Amino acid sequence: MAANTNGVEFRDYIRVVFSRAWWFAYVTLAMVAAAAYASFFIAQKHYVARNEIKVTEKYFGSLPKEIADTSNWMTRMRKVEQDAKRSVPAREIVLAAASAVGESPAEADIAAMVDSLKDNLKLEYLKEAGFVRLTYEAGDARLAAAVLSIFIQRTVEALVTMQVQELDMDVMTLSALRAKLAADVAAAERKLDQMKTVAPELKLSATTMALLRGSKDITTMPSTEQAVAVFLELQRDIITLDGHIADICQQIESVGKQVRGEAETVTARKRLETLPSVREATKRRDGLTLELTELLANSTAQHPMVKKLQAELRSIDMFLSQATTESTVEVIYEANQKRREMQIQLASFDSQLAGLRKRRLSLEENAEKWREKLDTMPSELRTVREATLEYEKKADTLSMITDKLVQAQIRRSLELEKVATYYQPQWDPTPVPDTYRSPRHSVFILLGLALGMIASVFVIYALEFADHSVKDQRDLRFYSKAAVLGVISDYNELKAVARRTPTARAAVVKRYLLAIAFVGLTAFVAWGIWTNWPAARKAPGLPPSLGLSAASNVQEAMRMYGASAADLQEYAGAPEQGVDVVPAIQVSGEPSPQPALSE
Amino acid sequence: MTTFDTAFDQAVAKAVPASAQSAARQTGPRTPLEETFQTVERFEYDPTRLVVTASVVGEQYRTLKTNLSRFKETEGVGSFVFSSSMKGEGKTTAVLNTARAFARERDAKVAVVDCDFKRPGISQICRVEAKAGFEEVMTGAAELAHCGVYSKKDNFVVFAIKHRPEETHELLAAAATDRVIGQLEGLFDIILFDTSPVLSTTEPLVLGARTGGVVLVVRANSTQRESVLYAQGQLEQAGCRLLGLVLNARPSYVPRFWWLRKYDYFQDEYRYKAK
Repeated sequence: MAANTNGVEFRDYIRVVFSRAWWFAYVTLAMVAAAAYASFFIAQKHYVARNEIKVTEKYFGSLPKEIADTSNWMTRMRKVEQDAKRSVPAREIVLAAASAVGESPAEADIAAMVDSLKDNLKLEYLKEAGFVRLTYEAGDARLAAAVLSIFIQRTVEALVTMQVQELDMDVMTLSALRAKLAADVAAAERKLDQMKTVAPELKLSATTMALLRGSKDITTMPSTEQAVAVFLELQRDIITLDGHIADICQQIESVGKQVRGEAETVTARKRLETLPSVREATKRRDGLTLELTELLANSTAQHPMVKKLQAELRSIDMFLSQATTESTVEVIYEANQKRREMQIQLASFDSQLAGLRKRRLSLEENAEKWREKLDTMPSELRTVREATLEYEKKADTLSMITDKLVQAQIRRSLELEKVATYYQPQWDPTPVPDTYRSPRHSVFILLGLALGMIASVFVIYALEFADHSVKDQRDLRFYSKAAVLGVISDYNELKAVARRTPTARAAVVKRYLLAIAFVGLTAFVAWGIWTNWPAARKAPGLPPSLGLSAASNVQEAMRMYGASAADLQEYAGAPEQGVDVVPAIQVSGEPSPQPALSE
Repeated sequence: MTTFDTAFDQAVAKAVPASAQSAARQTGPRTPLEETFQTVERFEYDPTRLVVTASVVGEQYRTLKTNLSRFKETEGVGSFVFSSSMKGEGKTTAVLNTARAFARERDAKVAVVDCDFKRPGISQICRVEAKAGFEEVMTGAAELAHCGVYSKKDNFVVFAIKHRPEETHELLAAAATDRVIGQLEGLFDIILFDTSPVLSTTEPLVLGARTGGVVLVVRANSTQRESVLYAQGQLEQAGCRLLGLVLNARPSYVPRFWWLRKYDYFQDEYRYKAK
């Protein structure tokens, strides 16, 4: 192939591929070798500690829904996990694990382990089996086991704590409140005892109160409140009376004004107009006058009709004058009678007013006496009374709080019982088994193969571009522009070809060998991909019992999981026993305060 | 014979055995070359260097010979200087094989002249012992007839160098060169000069200007393109005619099984040989 792109054809690429095929093999094999070296000698071996916690309830069917829900468990465990992966708890776990194993790691190692705890501690919820599988991966088998054990211990404790946390808070708050109240009540009681006098209790009925209010002499000694109440009642009565007095005064005034405004005589004329007979007569007279005027205009005064009309007019005038006199007398009489009635009413009002004023005076007198009585009442009595009231109030509150506290304590103990019965996670207290996991050599080698193939393409084309030698006649003609008289094949190559395939059988054998190599390489690549494909890597099945570990120590576990002899030798000096962890639930906290129901 | 009949469907007039052919050739009348030069039955070639005539490569040299003989037919050019840009590109092998291809004609008068005074190769390959070397001919110390060796089987004359001279530039003085080339052209139809590289020495330039032209041998996968171009420039500057290029030792880049069945005329050759 030419260095520049002029004249490049597809067969140039073919030529490059075949002429540099050995470079392809060299580079690829070198990368595979490097990857294999890294995989076998450089890559770190891992030890995986693993344990399972059974989180399904013991008794199916008869449990409430919120208890039977295992996903609730998982949520809590996730919370605990997140909590433990924070720096400070993670550091605590690591330090506890190190001390359990009996090692004192350096500060940098501790920091590295804290980091690895964040990444390598994994929780997996196996729904069908009802397990939560915990795995932790570290370079040291014993330390990994210890870290996992301590994490599980903390997890169980935290789960129980979480379950009764709210109720504990209730009980604590109520206890504190109750203690404070009890102290207050005791103080109030002491104060009362010191006074040594208790005010007499007077329960006054309505009638007694009426009597008291009415009487001016106080023979008994009521309490301050009662005295004040009576005084206030009296004051209220006085105010009511004042209202009555004001009403009556107003009425007197209005009636007096009415009496004064009543006329002595009434105009007759005015009265006459109102009478129907007079009104008729007047109308008749007007009509007659009009008729008369018409007659006079048409005839003489001597007309009989005129005379008759004049006579009628005269009689009507007489009637009118008579009626005026009579009605005036009647009206005057009526007015006088009304005035008399009003004066009588006014007199009764006056007498009522006098009575009210008198009563008010007496009430005022009475109230004054009560006031004097209140003023002279002893102050100690009032103090005692107030103290008693306060004590009663506090005692009521205390009893209420005590009731609530007792309820909270009952709830808490019930919840604890429930936890102990249903929520207790089951897990294996025997030493935690260890899995030995070597680096995945096939992954390394496959990666090396792929990278080598890619790199070899680059190497080949770099070589090709650096190579300026004449490749074939086309190349020669393209560059030199002179005639190519002859092209002579590489005789050594031809001889080699002749030597390599002397017979058909050898060619067949060669072909079979090539086929076997190709199939082998393909099978290796397929195996590598298959074993490392995520879906294909199945989780190992659970053992029949909860006891995952038939292994009693690290060496045995390593042997179970197929560790090499060298790795076993490496840990030959490790202590035999694993890390014991007590799985029982320890309900932390002091015994709950018992309420002192002394009242 | 039966196979030939069935294959070509032709009647065979006379069947002459191969041994009889060679006997007739050996016992024929003496040619002028045999009379002029020292004659041997055959050259004892170095087996590691020379190619087989009846092969892919032999056919390719015959193609080259055909292309070169076009110059003889059309322009009357019979002297060719074989050179290359750098050393080790297969000049000597190319010269000898081309000579063998020319000498397949019975009446052809072919000469191979070794003019590579610094690294003479012809005498080693052909394993000839002449009375005088070609350097002595150039200096005038010996006659041309004492230098050439004729092989009856190969049918061409070889002028080899006997002793490597100390100073080569004096040998190729214009007058001596013209004289020797004139003598050679008088004796031979085809004269092939094996020379030194163009970029290292001056012999090909001197000879190329006085002969028909220069054939530049280029070795595939070895000669740089820039070297070829530079050698071309040198030849042009020296007034030499570049007749053409020969691409030597060209490998088959794709594997043989790829193209063997389709393109290779000689595919069965090796199998037959192995039997």
